[in-house]
Amino acid sequence: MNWNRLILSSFTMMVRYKLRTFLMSIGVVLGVAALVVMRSYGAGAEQEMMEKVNRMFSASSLYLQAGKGGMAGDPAKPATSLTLEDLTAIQDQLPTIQAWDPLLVTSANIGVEGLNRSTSLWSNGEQGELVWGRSVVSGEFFSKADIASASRVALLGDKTALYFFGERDPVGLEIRIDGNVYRVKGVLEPIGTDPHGMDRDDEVHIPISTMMRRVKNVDYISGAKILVKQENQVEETVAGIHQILMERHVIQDHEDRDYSLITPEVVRWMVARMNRVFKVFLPVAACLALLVASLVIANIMLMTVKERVPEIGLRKAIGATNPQIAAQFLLETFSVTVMSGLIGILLGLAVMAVMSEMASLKVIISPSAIILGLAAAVVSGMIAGYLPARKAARMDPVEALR
Amino acid sequence: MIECKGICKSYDRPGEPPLHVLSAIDLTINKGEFIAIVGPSGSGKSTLMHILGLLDRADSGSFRLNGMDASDMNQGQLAAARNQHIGFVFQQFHLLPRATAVENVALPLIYSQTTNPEERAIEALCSVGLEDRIKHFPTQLSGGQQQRVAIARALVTNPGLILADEPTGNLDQASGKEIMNLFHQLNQNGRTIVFITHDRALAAQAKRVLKIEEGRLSEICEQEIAGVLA
Repeated sequence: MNWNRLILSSFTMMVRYKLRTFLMSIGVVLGVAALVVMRSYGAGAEQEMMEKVNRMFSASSLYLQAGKGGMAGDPAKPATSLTLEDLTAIQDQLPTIQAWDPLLVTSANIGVEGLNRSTSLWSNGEQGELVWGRSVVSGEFFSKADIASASRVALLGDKTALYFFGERDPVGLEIRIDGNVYRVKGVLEPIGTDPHGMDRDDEVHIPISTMMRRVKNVDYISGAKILVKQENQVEETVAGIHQILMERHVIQDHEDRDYSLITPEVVRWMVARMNRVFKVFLPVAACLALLVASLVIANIMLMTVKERVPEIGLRKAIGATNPQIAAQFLLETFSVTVMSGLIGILLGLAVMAVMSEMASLKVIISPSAIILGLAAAVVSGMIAGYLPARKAARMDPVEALR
Repeated sequence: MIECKGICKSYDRPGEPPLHVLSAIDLTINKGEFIAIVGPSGSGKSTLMHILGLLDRADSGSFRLNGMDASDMNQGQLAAARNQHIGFVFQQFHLLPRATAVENVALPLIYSQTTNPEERAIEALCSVGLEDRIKHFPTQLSGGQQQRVAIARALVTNPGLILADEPTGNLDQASGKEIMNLFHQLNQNGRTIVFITHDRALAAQAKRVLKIEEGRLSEICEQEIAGVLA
């Protein structure tokens, strides 16, 4: 048996039967391309999200949220029971806590010299820089005095700064927040979009005291980020916080808590869940598409077997054994699917290049996506080639030549 | 070269008694013979040809090709024997439509160990006078030329025996004559040729004529051939 010649002839026939080859390959090409794109995009999205999450929420941070929890946009009315005093009490009683920073967000109308725009207004305490891991690229962060005196100072996201001031350095200049004059103290380090899709570079920060007393006139906060000194102290800290808050808020064990505590573990689980659609669901959809493509190929191959009955008889007459006939038809299917797989991978890579260029999406060309694409092509070849090859091999040469 | 003793072959038919196609065929073919097999349609000519060509097995009796007993051989050995010892020529040529003449001729070499298949295929094409049609596709060739490509394919493994099933059945008279001349030439070079035909004039060109009627084989002697022809 001369394998080289058999392989060569199956490739030659692939080229000579162009329409058939095209019809057979199109499904696999598109399926593999989709698989590669989804795998790579999923890997990119996950890495990007993890980077953001790690930056905003390291393994030694906790997020305390007022209210029972639930997703953003929950129709429940805002919880008003969490106060700065709660946090102070927690820090006083738990030596494992390194620092904390309160969170209270609203939206406000920002105006500078005739330019107006609504944006989100955030607030920080004096440890905000440390706790959120985000400093300023120019100017200064809020000082202790700013917090103590609820002064009218603001930090701008770099996009906000660019919008209102262009290339000018805004530090020391004035902006209006809901009509009141604030002095720009600094420009925040850019951090991109957060996992919720919010652009964190287009926002304004003011001291928490200013936010509570002057802007919102409330005595509660919506949450706080807490840094634990060491990663292995997270668990005991969580237990301590529960104890303190349940005591302070007079909550019995069987009652619903009026706050929720998000741990690094929960955050990672949520991110993984969000990425499941890219990492599992979409690739499964692509695999289903490939299965359909395999069935199309199997169908076409079965028809060619029918059409090539005399050829099969002839090949047997000139010395082909049944396994050799099967090998030939499998090879013909394989050469089409493997070639389609390679084209599909290239197409997928091209689509990703365009995607990351045009939509500035982070895309990782993961070797696993390419291996997966090739494996999918080979598997579809096996699924598609098996039945036709078996049918051809079992043919009786005398019948076939008639 | 070929020794058949008591070959029987029958086919089962649903709801009817089995059809006895060949009954007790005894036949010896020596190296270098040129034999025609004649007989009416359905008389078992093709079945005999398939058994001689190792494509089909007899129900009983013994069949030996070049000293090998066909009943002892497994599928792989039968295929190898077909490849090495037998060249088939069919009425419908059975060329691959999208393969060139040389690719068609080289086809049997896929199933054997040959180092220079291309060269051997071109050699075989030259020996049937098609040296200027090497890269042509079957549709670009006349019927006679296509059959010569098929003969070249039968010759490429250099088999001792050529089995031809109505090789001129699809050809006009002139092309048929060409093909017969080619067979004569091959026979002169020492190849054993067995061909089936309906055409008594063609049969008369053979050195030996066998007749099958209702599954029985009989030899027609030279005088009879003349008589049959008359």
